[in-house]
Parts: sequence; structure tokens; C-alpha cells
Amino acid sequence: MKLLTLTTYRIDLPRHGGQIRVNALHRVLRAQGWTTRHMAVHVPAEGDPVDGADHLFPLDAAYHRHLERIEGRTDIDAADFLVRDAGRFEAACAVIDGYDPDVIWLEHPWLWPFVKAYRAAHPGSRARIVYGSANVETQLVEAVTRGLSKGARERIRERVRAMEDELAGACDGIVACSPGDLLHFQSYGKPSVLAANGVWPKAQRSDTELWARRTARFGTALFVASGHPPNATGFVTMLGNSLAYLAPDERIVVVGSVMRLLEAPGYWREHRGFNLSRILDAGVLDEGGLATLLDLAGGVILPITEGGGTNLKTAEALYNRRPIVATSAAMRGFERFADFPGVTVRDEPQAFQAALKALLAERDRPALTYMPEQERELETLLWPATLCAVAPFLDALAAQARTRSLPAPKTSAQPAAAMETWSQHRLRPLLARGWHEFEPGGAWSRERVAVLRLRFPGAGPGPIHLRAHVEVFNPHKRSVEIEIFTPNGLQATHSFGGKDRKRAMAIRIDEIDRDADDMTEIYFRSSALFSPISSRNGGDARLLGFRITAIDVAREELPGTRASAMRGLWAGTIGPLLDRLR
Amino acid sequence: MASAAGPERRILIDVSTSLRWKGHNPVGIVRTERELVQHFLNHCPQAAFFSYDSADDAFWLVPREEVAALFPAAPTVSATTPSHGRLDEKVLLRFRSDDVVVSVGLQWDIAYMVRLYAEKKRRGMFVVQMVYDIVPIVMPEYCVPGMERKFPQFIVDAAWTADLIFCISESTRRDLESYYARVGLKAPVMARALLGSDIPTASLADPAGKLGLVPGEFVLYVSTIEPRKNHQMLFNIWRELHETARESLVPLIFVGNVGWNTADLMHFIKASEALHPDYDRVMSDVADAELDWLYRNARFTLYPSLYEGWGLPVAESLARGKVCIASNASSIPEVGGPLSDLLDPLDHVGWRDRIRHFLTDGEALAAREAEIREGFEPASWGACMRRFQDDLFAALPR
Repeated sequence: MKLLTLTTYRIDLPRHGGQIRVNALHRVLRAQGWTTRHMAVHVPAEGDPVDGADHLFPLDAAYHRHLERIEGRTDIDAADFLVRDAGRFEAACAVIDGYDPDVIWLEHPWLWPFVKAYRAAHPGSRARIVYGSANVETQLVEAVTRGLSKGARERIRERVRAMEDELAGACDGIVACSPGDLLHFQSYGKPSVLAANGVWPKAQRSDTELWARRTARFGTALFVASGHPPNATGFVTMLGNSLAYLAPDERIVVVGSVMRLLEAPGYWREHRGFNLSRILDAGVLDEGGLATLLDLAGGVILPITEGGGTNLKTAEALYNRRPIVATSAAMRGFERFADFPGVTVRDEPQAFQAALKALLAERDRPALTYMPEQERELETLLWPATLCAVAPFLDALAAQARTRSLPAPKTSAQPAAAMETWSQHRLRPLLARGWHEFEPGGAWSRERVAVLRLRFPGAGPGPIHLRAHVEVFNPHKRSVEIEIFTPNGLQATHSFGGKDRKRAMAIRIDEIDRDADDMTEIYFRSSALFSPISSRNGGDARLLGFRITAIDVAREELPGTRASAMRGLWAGTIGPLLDRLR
Repeated sequence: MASAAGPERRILIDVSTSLRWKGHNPVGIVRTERELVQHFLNHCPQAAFFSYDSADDAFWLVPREEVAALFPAAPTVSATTPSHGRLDEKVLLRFRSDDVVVSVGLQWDIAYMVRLYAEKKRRGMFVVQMVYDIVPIVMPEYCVPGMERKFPQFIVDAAWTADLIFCISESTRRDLESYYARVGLKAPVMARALLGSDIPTASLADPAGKLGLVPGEFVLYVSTIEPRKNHQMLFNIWRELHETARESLVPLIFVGNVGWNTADLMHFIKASEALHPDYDRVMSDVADAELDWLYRNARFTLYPSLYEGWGLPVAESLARGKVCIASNASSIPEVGGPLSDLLDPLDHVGWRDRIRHFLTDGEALAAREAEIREGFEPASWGACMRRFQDDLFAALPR
């Protein structure tokens, strides 16, 4: 079995989280007999190995100039580097054709436009497409576009949304790295599996004397993070705008390129110079240096406030039996360890800072001790354990491909279904009744029943498929239901639990739902409305139910949650309701 | 000796800065530390002296003889007094819980406060620190690169470490308290320290010839040369007066060491054929006696700095009966009050007109000088240091 992974970074000298995860995937699959290769469209970095086994497409100066002009990003816009140059595109296609992989694994959606173009040009490819899903990127895009112009932000936001949505809808399987992400992607109706992030046993320590000398006079906490903007945002949010609460003999040891962000303007509103004086900048370290600091530091802080997925650093700190101060976002996927010795989870910045101070104060803390069952649980953090479901999952996908036999699956050669998205101001004319004032981010429902009126001029025969992106306001994390009706009856009932707030709801508009002008209405009935002010969630005194942030429209069925479809079953009861609504 | 601290309590005076600046003309902070050291050396038997050595990251006791050698011209008492069981050698300092540790030196470039904090955690000494200003916090853009980290660290560490902070002006005290509030720290107890304006004049017989200046025929600005001190505005005014009122113009003398980020200004001065050297000159490394002569023989003095912790040259000018046109920013109005001629340091036109007024109206200048001689009470370093000692001892816990 052959795997080809595609990312926007090399993995032969793994340093940051994404590199470590993909590298681990290769190691684990190879140990199970797979052949693996990696292809990267990347920015060359100092210290990169000269000879690598990866298939590399380093971005050139001309492309950097292009990105500068459009305020583009080297990751999100990476696929264009291949797709817009015939020579490079053929070279990249030749890598796939020459290798003939069973599975192409996209760790992010960024290179999907290339794979999509490849599939269109090579319809006979047997490779199954897997979205490796390090995160739900659509939810993170805001964090990486701060500082860009409005136009650039909107372009990137839309591109990320479109790429991820299209890939999740078109791929053959999805591997998510946290239960939350898995739930999100399950709405696309694809085979999916959870493979949390893990850790390798600690490497041999290096530079021990150097780091022992540099940290000797201080109580220290370790923060390890790459230059991904949310890492700096989380650090500043949780540790605060002023680090003056750290005593003269207390320091945060920062490992990784996040330091370059913290040094630059934009993260701390003020006191940047002083705050940096409370940081020991360890730079980017190899595994040996990191192992040394893990041992020397009083503990590890995981101030993560945004993002999905599971955090490699959490696994690393847990497995190495170090005291931890973390947010619950950092513990995502590791919730079972939350009450382990030395683990403190705090989501309020002040409480987080108090826990950090307590950690720094215990400079001579004895080693943490664990119960035998806790020791066993910690061993499940190793990569071979966290990725154990991946190989069978990929085997099954590849087997499906074989049973369908050649020619390649019809869908793989077809262009994606034409889809239109209505969002922001395009939603305003659709708000018929039961809504608060229009807001570009999505108008909130004001009454239990809120109604959209839609027209599909010239739609012709056949159903129209919608996917409504709905977000409920549920500050008390109660069970909330939203029922969806069309004139023809109840379509579905969606139940929202404590934590899930957003869902893409599939709705089918049949010819019978539309009148002669191709107009129809959709009725959303929510079981509860809440007020932000009464739930101490701001000063807004309105009663809010849910809001619709976007509606996708297509002639083909769109992936989305159908919930309990009961079309027709309620015809007897919906009639009176509709009568009242009219 | 009146001593609220009790005769046995050791008063440790930091001499690190004076030792580092040995052999240089003492200005600003170095002068303040030397005046304090000299006072405690001569008037406080329980005083001992120490330094922090960055190279070996250690505190050392400095023998009184070595301290006395900092002041070769001044009569010393304690330097020749037997040391009564004390080891007057350079030995490692080991703090005791009842020690009073006083520093008025330049500490932000070294790890002094971090190390002292660690010692205080262990020993619990009473720590006293002088703060002159917080320029690198208020105006980081006017400071050498790196100062935006080192200096606020020193100030925050001082809040963690010091039991008592002396500020040299009410303005500095307000700025410091405001900064501590902004970073979320409780400010230590604050007290006010006064600075003297007398200049030792022991050595040089007649500096006039060496300086090449005619008494009464120059205007003086004494200050380190750096952008915050606003020399450029004075250069521009002299350029303008050279064009419009040359008959009444006299040379403008900048006295001070050339500091950071002044390459453009120095180029302006040297490249100006109209002004340099007849109407604008820079004098660095000026000895105390020369400085005293310059003050006494200037037509009047200028002090247009954008921000200060005090403004010693204003006091030095007024103490010699000389008119000083000074900035109205930060602490500077505290120095001479209504006896200094205060103007907004960004008001080019106002400064030009006031300078021209005193250059052309000798009667007005003489009348203003008479007011200064009548009203200004110069503070001597000796009196200021006596008050510092009294205030320090009064603040010590009983």
C-alpha cells in the first residue's frame, strides 16, 4: 500500500506541530508495511536538510512577489504555484503518476486545487483522497489574516472556506484529530475516523549545561509554539497585557518561532519591551534541546485560545510527566487527563496567571507520581497508539476503490457541482419575518418561528438543494431543537447539545414547495430563545434564537446534516401550523 | 550623629557606578552617586560600600580606602580611621537581614536588581533605590535600542525589590506611580530626593584662555547631546538669527558628551559654514572648573529638553545668577519655578523671540538676573545629602 502526503512544508526535519504529525504518520504507516512519500510546496528555511527524500516544490522569488502584490499567504495560496505554471503542474502530476499511490493525503486544504486539477486531467487515477484535517481551517482563518487589508482578508476567508468545503465534500475519507473536529466533518457524510495527536518518547538531552546555566537563577515555565499567529494570540490573551506579575526571578522560556511574533508589534497593546524582558528566548530547538528544557523548566504552559485539532504540545507535556497549566482548548482531545497529577486547567486569564504563578513558585517540586492505571493511560499518548486507526481506515478506503474497479469512479472525473453561496448582504432580502434587524454576520431570529422567503427564477423541474449554515445562541448549553419546514412539510429536526452551536443543515426544495414564480418559504422553529444580558453574555437585551450565516444553493445534493428527516410524516400536524403562519 | 536607624544597622552604599566611571568628569547620575558616597563616607560611621560585578555576577564589599580614593582632592575622614574589626579588603558581600541597601547608580544595564531581589528573598534586607526618570518608558523612541526592554525591567524589578524609592522630582514620582498602576503593580513607598547645584571648582586656574570664549559673549546649553534634548531647534534658531539679526548674535555653545542618534545634528553643525565654528560649537569632556566658568560667564543659558527627570543645568544656571530659558515640560518647571523663563519646547517661534529679546535688550536681561539673585536659593550637594540621610533613616522600620 502506498501513501502520498501533500503539505506546504517539509517533514524530513520535523519541528512544528504539522511537520511532527505528518512525519509520525509516515513512521507509523511504514512500521505497518506501507510505502510512503511526501510532496511539499514550501518556503525553504535555513537549516533545511540539503538532501531530502521529499518531492519538493520550493516557492520562488517571482511567486513571493506575486504573493506580496495580492497580500497572499505561502500556505493558503500554495496550490496556485503548481496550477498556474504548466511546467510545474506537469512535474507535480508526474510525481503522482510515477508513484501511483493508493491514498493521497491532504493535511490541509491548501493543495486541494492542485489535486482537483490533477484529477480532472488524470481521470484514471485510482488514488483515494483523504483530508487529513489538522484543524477546521474555516474556523481559524480569522486568526491568520489580522493585519491584512479588508479586501485581502475577505479573499482569503472566502478561499479557505471554499477550499475546505469543497475538499471535505469531494474527498473519499476524513481523518480528524479531535472529537470536535470529527463531529464537524461528519456532517459531510464521508467515512471518517479520529486520530489524535501524539508524542514520541523523549529524545536524548543536548546542551544540558548551557540551559542549566541560563535558567539557574529563575523559576521557569516552558512555552513551545510555532510562528502560527493564534499561538501568539493565545499567549498574550492568557498571560495578559503586562507580565509585571512575574517576579524578577521568574521567566517564561519560549521555544519556537512564536517568539518572532511576540517581538513584533501587534500582539501586546503596550508593555511589549518589558514583557519581552520576562521571556528567555530559546529559539528554535531540536528534539534534544527541547528534551533538556522539558526537564529543566518547572512546567509547561499551554495557553491556547483558538483553533481545533489536538495539541501536540499537550501530549508532549503529559507524556513527559511535567506539571501543566493549560486552557480547556489545549486539553481538547486529552480531557481524560484533566485530573491527572500536576495538570491545572484554567480558561479565565487571571486564573491561568494565578496557576502559572503557583507553578513558578514550586521550583523544587518533587517529580509527579501516578497510579498504575494513569501510567497506562499516559502510554496511549504515543503516536503508534493515537494513529492506530489510520492504517485500517486507509486500507478500507483503498479496498473500496479496488472493488469499484476501473474506470475510475464517475465522480472523480466530474467537475464539482455548481454551487452558489448566499451570505452577508445577500441574506437580507430573504428575511421574511421573525428576525431581528439585519446584521452582515447573520440576522438573529427574534421569534420562535423565523421565516426565509426565497425565489429560484427559472429553476425548472427537479429539486433544489440548500445547505443553511446555522448557529444557535445557547449560552446555558441546554438541549435546543430547531425544526425545519418547507410548505410541503417538516424536513428535519436538529438537536443541539451543550457545546455544538453550529451546523450546516441540508434542505431540499422540491417543485411542489415552489409556486409559479418559483418562490418558496422555509420555516425554522426553535425550541428556545435566550437573552445575552440575562445570561451574562454581554449587554444585549434582545431575545435570540439562532442565526443563519450563509446558504449554499445547488442542483446537486449538498453534504450537510439531515438530522431526522420526516418529510410527509407530519403532514397532518404541519397544516394547522402553516395556516397560522400564513 | 543623629541616626534613626540605630548605630548598629549597616548602611550599604552602592559605589558600582562611581567605580565604573572613575577618572571621568562626573555628570548627572554619576555625580549624584559620588556626592552620596562622599557624604556617607565622611558622615556616617555605620556606612559600608559595595559594588555589583557583572562579570562574576557577585556583590563585593569595597574597602573604605578604595572608596576614598575616588575623591583625591577632597578631605576624607573615614579613609584614615581604623576599621575596628572590619576586614577592609574587597570581599564578597553577604547581606544580613538588618542591612539597609542603598543605590542611586546606573543599574539598568546590569543584572543588579535581579540579583538583589534574590538576595532580598533570602535575607530580607531593607532596599532603597533612586529613580531619576522613566524616559525609556515614556519616550522609548529617543533611547538606544535595547533600552525598551532593559529599563522597564529595572523599574519593575525595583517595585518588587525596593522598600523605598527616592525620586528626584514630583514629575518623576507621578510618572513612576502611573506606570506601576498601568502594569498592575503596587508602588513602593516613595520619597523625594533633592539634587545640589554647586560645582567643585578646585583645580583649574583660568579656563578662559583654553576655552577661547569672551566673557558675556556666548549663550550656553549644558546637556548630553541626544535628540530628546532638542539641540536641533536651537541650531535652527541660530541659523535663522544669523540671517535676520546677525549684529546681535553671539556664539551658541553646546556643552556635553555626544550621545546616541546624533549623527545628523553633528553633520548639520559641522557642515554649516554660516554657524560653525564662529556661532555654534560643541564642547565635550569639560572639567568641573571649566563648567563653572562657562556658567558664570555666559550671557544666559538655554534648556529646551523635551522631557527630564529633573533639570540640573537649570538650577546650576540660576545658582550663578544666570537667566535660563527652559522647557516647560515634565519636571523642569519644578527646578526654577517662576525664576526660569519657561516655554513649550516645541514652540520654535516663542524660543526664537525670547532668545532675540535677551540678546538685544541688556536692561531686561540685567533686571531678570537681579530677580534671580534675589529669589533663587541654590541647594548645596552637602545639604541635599544630609536631608537624604535624614529622610532615609526616618523611613526605616523601627
